[in-house]
Amino acid sequence: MKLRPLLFALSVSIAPLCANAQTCPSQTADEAAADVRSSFNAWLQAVEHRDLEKTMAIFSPSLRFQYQGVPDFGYDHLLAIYQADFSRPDAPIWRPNIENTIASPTLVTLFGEWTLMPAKGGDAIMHNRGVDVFQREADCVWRVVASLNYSDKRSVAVDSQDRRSPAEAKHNKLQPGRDGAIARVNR
Amino acid sequence: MRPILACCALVCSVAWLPAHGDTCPAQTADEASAQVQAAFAAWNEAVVQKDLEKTMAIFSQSLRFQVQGSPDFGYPRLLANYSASYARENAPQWQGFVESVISSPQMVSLFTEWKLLPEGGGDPIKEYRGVDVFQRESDCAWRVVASLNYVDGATIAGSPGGYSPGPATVDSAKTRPRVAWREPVVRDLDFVFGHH
Repeated sequence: MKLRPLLFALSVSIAPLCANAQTCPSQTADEAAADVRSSFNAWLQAVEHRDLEKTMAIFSPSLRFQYQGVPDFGYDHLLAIYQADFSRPDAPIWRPNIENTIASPTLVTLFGEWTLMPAKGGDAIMHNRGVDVFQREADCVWRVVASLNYSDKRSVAVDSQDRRSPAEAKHNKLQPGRDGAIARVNR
Repeated sequence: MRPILACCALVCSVAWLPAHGDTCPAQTADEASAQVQAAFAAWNEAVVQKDLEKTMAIFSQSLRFQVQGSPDFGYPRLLANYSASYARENAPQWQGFVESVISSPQMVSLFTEWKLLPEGGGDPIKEYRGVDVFQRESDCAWRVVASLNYVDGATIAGSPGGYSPGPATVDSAKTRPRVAWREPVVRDLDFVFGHH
């Protein structure tokens, strides 16, 4: 009988660690979207400052990263990529443009365009598009649990409604295997 | 005053129209996931049967469709693509296979592989990967509001002849290094778009 209070206390203390944010304060979809955008902006700053810890803080340990042309990978591989990338003094940097946010109180998706820019400025090296799926985890922090990314190929479309300028389209060549092979997942 | 009150009442009533299933019966994330996967399975069947109405029923009118190599488009163009595709004799058909599901009570993200299969059977002609974002709309039906799709690099890696692995080899293809990936060239958009 004496064990019961102890077991109860133990179960109460462990429970919050288990599920996806089931004990977090409830949010509206708008609040969730605002939170995600805020942490996304903080992440951009972290990348700018090559702060590895804060850069990785936005990714869930259960992350599944999908990038066209390479096998899917997880958190550990992404960490290794950032470590290598941040050690390069002149590594190019990805600049995002959020195209679309679809939010619910517990799940948010960010659709974005990504442009790889040389560290010292100049024309874009590469354009990508993708989606990041955020979930609130047990500590109530929004993190990316899935990311899907591909090279933007609109310039090769037969469709005449390509909205990009020739200047944008000319940088549309993704050539894995060159020195960009690591840097291009740098986001 | 009465007309003003009537107008006020009308405005108030319109304001209460739910945007995304706000008045639908509550669901858990697991229930939402199950409903979306059921809708997806029904959609796959509708495609096999070339049932245009049921095919389009899974898409929201506000759909934003993103496919690699093409400008984004919406519901009307997707409808036109399906109408044209279903009118063709022996047109190949896209079939979807769920890779993973991330769900919440209000929104579900379905990660999928897509294979363009010849009408008479055989090896896939093309393979794509993508994600479909589902939301529950005001009639409580789950629909795709956003879709993102790209050519699966694994299926064209190091294959000058455009080799596509058959269903039995797809699992092993996933573990194959994809470093030999080359740029896909989208030449026949209607052919590609048929997938959704």
